Amino acid sequence: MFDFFSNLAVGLGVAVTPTNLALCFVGCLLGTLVGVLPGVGPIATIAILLPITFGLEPVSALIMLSGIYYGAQYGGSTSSILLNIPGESSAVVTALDGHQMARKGQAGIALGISAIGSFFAGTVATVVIAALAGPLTEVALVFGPAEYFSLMVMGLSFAVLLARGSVIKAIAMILVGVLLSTIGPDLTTGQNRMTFGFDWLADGLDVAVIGMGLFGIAEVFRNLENVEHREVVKGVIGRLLPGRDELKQSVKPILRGTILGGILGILPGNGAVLGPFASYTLEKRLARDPSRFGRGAIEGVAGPESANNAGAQTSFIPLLTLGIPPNAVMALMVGAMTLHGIVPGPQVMTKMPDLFWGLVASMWIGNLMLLVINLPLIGIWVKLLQVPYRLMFVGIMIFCCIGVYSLNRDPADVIILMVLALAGYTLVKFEFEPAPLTLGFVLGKMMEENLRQALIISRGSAMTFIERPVSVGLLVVAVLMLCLAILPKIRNGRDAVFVED
Amino acid sequence: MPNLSRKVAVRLGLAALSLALVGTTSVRAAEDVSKYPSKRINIVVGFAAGGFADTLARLIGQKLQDKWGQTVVIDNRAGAGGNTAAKYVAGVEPDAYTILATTTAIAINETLYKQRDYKLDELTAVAMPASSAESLATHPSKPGNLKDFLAWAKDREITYGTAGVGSGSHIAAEYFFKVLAKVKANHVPFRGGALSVQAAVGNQIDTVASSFGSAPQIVEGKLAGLAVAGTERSVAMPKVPTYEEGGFKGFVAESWVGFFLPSKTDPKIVDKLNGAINDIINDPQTKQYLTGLGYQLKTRSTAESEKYLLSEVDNWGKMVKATGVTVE
Repeated sequence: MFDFFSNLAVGLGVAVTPTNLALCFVGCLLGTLVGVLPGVGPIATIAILLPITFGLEPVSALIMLSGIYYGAQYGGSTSSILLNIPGESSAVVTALDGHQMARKGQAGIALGISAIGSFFAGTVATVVIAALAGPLTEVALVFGPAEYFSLMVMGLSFAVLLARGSVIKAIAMILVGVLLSTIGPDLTTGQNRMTFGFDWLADGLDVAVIGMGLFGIAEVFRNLENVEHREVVKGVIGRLLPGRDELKQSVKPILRGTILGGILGILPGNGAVLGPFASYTLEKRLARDPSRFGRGAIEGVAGPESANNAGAQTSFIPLLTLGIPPNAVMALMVGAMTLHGIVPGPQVMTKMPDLFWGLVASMWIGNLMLLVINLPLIGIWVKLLQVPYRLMFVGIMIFCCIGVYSLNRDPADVIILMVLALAGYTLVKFEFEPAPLTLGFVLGKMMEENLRQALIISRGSAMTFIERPVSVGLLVVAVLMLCLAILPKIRNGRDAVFVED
Repeated sequence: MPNLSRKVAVRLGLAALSLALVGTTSVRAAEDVSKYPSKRINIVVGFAAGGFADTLARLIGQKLQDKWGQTVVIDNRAGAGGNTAAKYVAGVEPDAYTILATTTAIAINETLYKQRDYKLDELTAVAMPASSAESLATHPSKPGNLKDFLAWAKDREITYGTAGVGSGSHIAAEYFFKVLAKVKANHVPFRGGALSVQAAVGNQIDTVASSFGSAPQIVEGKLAGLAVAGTERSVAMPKVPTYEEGGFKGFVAESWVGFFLPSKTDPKIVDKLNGAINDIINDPQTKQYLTGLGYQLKTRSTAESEKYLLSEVDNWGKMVKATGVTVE
């Protein structure tokens, strides 16, 4: 315990020097901005800013770059809530209820609760990293391909619960998402699949394109249907900050989201993406009136946002304790460490305590800064909604196109974006929901790849999934989830399930 | 691909992020060697930001910028195992303002890929300054030296993880198990070397093949190093013997990062860039820093670089053919 505090003291000593504070602030501010802009993600920003950090001390550089990463997590929720444009998969969940809240004139409350939830989750996750990084690494190592496959199956069973309407339609959407995820090179043979010989499909679709197309631009199309009295949000903006009742409603979702997101964030291969989906499902399940979800339930914003930020922080654990990056942003952090002459690996924690603890301490300071940056910004963001829609929609289209283009600098991506937008609009017209599709897309690829890895490792025996205790546990949860989703509807008569067909 | 619109597009993308890089409108003019470089240089990296090629390209790019006073921009164009970037640079104007940075993949792909949209002779090798030998490592609970490990592996089907199908690690390990050691081993591809190393540390797979990704884990005892495929031991993990020491004579497989220019580039400019990169590598401070990161360093003239490239195409081609791996 004494070690813990003395280490944190060392870390704070490093993190609160004027230079590091300033860099942390710059990182958080930049992160918030790129998070708000659809498509422009932390990866591009960190890659471009890397050279600027060459002159800095390694720890200062890492503090700034990490600030961009978790700052982007904060910023990403802003465009989902206000405009229904999720810039990344985690923000898809926030858009579900966050944007509905904005339509009801509660944009400020939604933004406020997401900032508060993120801050709380970030604080807890920082303490967890400081206190338990070592033991948690061991947990991450238990997760092999078999466990990961079962986790993905569980994740897909969440998707059924995610849906508002028909279970059958939700399942259909999940399957379409999974199919879309198979575009691109096959993991075990390198063969291109479903590309029809087109170069621009050879690396598959990007989840940001799917999010922006199916949600963002499709939403624009829908809004344009009634041009006459078109407003994104009613004139009433309402309060800017959540009141006591809203906070009370959000406490438990924030707590649960933090725990779920924190655990999933540690897992290899970007487990963090599951966090918000898991949290949303859990909240919907626990809610006394699940029908509120999808219509602006504050729990549906508070939980996933906390899960998202907790996962963003705990995904630093494998990087810091093993030198193994769990996702693309962390891989870039490895590159940054290398460029600063640090060999990322298990020795960083022991041989460079200043760097390790300084970075950990800066994360907490960064979260505090983000709260300070974001709360006053809410007023400005909400004012954005008063911009007449005939101007707004042009801006949305332009930003989405630039954002998508900047991902790979490939004009084909902009065409894909528009095709997806038309598809998204059609789907909504026929009451198919895009959220399960997105989840199917995100999980499909990981599920397939882990299935194949697990089967190669088990020499072809599918028993591996039930022989391994963690794996079988996850599968049991998945089956229970599905039963919970389907049974009540069957009991209530066929109409509830099939009436829409 | 219309190159001009590509270039403009890159600038737009960067400018949209409003970051320090101000694109200068380029005036086309025949370049005099003594005046090179007179404008911004792009280094096109064949792989995503954060990897082996990217890291070295950024380092060299930074030093070139310091040396020449011209901005050097890193442009990551990942895709098709490095072929996307190679195809792009093979088609640009040969003015040496667009440099390709890629890995051993360019040598492997000559044999591995049935179809590529460029020819290797459209590119000329400038320098391959840094390399790292392919290695095998296993979980500490398994036999920790090559001989015992192979004996243990004899009566079972073992699994080995790599950064992916067609990677140098995959080809070298497949060649070693199938052709040299004659042990039945199944390939478990991962998306990137890091995840394969994690699976080995977690004892999910029997062994991991990687070029230098497992070095920190080996040094810290989280993994046991079995062998490195270098002519000598690796500076990053000096305790791990070479395959040669383990009785597999002549088995050498090294992953390197190289810089390339379109083959129509003025040879004098190629030499100038080669000299600049060699000077950077020979600088004692840089040398110490790169060696500390675990890279083996070597400076070559342009002629030697080109020769080395062809010998690598042969060496990897032999392994690819012997293992029968292909990618369409």
